[in-house]
Amino acid sequence: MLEIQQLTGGYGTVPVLKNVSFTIPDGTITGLIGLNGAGKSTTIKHIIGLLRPLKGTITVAGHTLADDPEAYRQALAYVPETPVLYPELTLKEHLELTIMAYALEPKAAWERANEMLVRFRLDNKLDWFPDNFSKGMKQKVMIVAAFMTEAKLFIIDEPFTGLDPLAVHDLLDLVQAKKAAGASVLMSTHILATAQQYADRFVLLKDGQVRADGDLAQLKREFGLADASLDDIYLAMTAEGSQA
Amino acid sequence: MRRLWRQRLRQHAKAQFKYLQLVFNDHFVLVLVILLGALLYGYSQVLKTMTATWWLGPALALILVALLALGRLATLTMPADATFLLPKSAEFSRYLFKARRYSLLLPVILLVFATIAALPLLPILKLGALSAVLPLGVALLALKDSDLWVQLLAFYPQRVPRWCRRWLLLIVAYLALLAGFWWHPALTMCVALVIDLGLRWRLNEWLAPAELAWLPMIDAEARRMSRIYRFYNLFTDVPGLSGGVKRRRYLDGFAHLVAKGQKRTWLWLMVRGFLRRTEFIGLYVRLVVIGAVVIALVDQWWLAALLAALFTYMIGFQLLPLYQVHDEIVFTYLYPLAVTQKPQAFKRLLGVLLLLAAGGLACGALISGHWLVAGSALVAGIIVAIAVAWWYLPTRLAKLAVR
Repeated sequence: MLEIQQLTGGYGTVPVLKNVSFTIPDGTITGLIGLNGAGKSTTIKHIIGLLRPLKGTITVAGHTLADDPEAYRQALAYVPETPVLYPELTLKEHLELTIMAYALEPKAAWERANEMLVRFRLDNKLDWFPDNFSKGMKQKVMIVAAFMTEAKLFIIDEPFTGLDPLAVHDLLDLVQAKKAAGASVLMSTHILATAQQYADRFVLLKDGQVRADGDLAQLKREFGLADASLDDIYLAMTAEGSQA
Repeated sequence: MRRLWRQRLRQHAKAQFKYLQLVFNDHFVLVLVILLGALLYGYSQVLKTMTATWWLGPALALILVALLALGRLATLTMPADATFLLPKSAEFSRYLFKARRYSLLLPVILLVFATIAALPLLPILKLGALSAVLPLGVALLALKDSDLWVQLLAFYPQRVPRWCRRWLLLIVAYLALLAGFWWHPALTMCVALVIDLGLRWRLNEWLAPAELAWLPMIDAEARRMSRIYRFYNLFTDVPGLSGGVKRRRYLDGFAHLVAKGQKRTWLWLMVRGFLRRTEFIGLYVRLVVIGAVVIALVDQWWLAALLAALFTYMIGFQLLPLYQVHDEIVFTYLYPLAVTQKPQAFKRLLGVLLLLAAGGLACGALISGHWLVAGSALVAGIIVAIAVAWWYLPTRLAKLAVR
């Protein structure tokens, strides 16, 4: 469960986000949609705690970063847009580090990890430095590391670029399994067809503000487009600015 | 070609000057002066007690050949040259002649100093100091001149005979020096001059019809520059060079010394950074070994203590960047770990490494059998290790945190 209330923030003192509020209930997948520069990455940076809000609060599973940073971080897993790896650690050590840092129970965590490693065909590369992998394989390492935690909230930034179609499919399976287990997932993406198919709800960002949020039916009503796809709604939203 | 060489040399000198300024910063110059003083003093002490033994000649010859081997041909070529200057291949030899002459400069200075340093050893070898030192100097310079010709010829591989190899030249040089110390360095000088003049005489014959091997030449220059930059990297940050990693499986035993557990996450990570990143452990070991050797040559307890303190401080200083190597990795900010864990882990790692270094430095004195010297070096090293890790480091990290 993620709750953002009247978040205003950005880099330095210039606000990129203005009064952003939305909620992601437990057991749902939410797509974070918007043009380049609309504020998706900035929103994510605020949620994971890399940026401090100028105003407003962010609550993850009942904790804020100010009152209990360790519980807040424990409840959160993040897959970045570009893979970031430790050049001096092997694949196995990356997963060991995750187990340590999140104080996971090693046996159960390794079981979860091994299943994913086999699925992503990484199980024979445990002793390699993933820093030398291809972009898609690095992305898979990030996914395994994030999904082996017991987080309540998963933040996935542009997950589909660089992954092969099979891996995209596997990732969506993982996301749905986490949803079924009661976690909430926030995905920022430009692949609207996939988002429409898999996400329960959407947050449409425009110029640092929430233009609309809700499930597809609510969005259709909001934009007055009866049998539109997410794609049509997206185009309608971008057209609004140019008319005004 | 002459313009090109002058332009390259100017660029090169500018870049080197910038780095040399950083390398020879104030405290390093101080360390160097003290080291040099200690070395000269140690050498003069050794000289007083030295008697003619069978190994003196071979050892001196070996040292001189090692010095002779220093100094590669600096061609200052760049990867793009193989494409852009390819049509100028025939004229390029004139550029290389200039480059060769420039490359002579530093080795000549080094060899002149080496000859002067060898001067007091000659009477011990039962040679007339003045009558022997001049031929020795001439021989060394002629051999270096030949060496650089051989290096240049290696870039024109077609017509150059098989025996024209650098390692062969160095072996011949060793034998000639050995014979020179046995009979008289005039013999070495004759051999060296015959080689040098012989090379110069046949040179045009080999060079004129041959094709320049661009890619090996550019590779050689890139390797030479990367060696220089790696040396600079001991003292300052060279952009684009810092981020190397080696697996070093044989060091995994040390990595496993840190048990797993949430409370030790940072320590676990930093130990691996120290062992596998190229910029830390190599430097650490090198400084400990150099320091131990220097301390082994000293028999004053106070000098050894001073050197041990200096080396421990330098090692500590070189390890500080390890604290920041993971700053680029976003996950280090996301882990549910106490914020105090990272500085504490680093303090512990640095403390242990410096105490080990102090022990290693003291071992140098132990090898030369001076118990008092070893003890004073150990105590001084430990005091500095504790001061750096428990007093200097926290204030420095506090400064970092403010930024």
